[in-house]
Amino acid sequence: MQARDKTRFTNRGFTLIETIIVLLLLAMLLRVAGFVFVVSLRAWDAGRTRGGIREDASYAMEKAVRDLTEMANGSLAQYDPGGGGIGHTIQFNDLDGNTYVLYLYNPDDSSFDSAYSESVYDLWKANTSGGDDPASGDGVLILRDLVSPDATAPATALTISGSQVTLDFVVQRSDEIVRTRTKVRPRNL
Amino acid sequence: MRNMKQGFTLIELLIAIVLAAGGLMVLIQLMGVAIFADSDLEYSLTALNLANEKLEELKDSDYSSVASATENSIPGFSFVDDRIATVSEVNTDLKDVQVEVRWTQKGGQQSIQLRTYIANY
Repeated sequence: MQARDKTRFTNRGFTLIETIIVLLLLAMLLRVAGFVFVVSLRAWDAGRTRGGIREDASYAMEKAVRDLTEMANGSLAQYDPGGGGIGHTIQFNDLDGNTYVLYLYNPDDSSFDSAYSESVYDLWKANTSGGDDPASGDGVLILRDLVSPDATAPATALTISGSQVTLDFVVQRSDEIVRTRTKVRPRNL
Repeated sequence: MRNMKQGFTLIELLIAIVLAAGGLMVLIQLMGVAIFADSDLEYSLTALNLANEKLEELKDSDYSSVASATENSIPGFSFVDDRIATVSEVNTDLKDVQVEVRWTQKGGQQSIQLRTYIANY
């Protein structure tokens, strides 16, 4: 009798309880792993957004710095077609005498004053001597989704102080904000 | 014979689960490394621009006022620890200018340096 019992015992598989415990543990483990996976995916997504902004901002910075560095002597100014607000612009000539304007544009904001009346602007470069009109958003798009560098006291992305230009790019896409800033002193002064 | 006929014991299964969990942890840590590597690049690019900014400021100022300076923070760029401009005179009309931007990341300090000469012309 004892021998038969022993045989039965060694041949048995899991009891229902054991199986349930294992399943519960597995479920918990999967739940934790799933949670971490979702969080990682979100972080990955944010990283990708930031990476995209970084690429675009680097390109814009490089382009603007190059243009401003090589501008013609004494041509640095703010674009002011009709008087009034001019904060969101920088006008300069290249060495061939063409006039360009770097400007922040939003179709809903008709003035170029330094206030961020709309939440988001795009940076454009217009060849005004070639007929581009900044008021209608002509030219080449350089950087999208620029927001105010400082929400409390709007300073603009493009500032001229003396012979020096400050480029302060704050780009926001979904919840990600990336800021980069530099100064340029034109070389042909 | 007895051993060959039995299935897994509970202990064996638990060990398997723990091992699987360990494996998953490693994978998750790798994802973290990949994500941090991305922000490394962002910081060094911004730091490079900020170092350039200081150089341009110095180039734009009077030759006599090109001097060493340390900023312990840069408003708007909280990741930066400090920005140090080191100026030494090579001769009466030439200064050696070095700008270093430092920031802390992953427990270590990173830095980027730019160096140039400014002449009194």
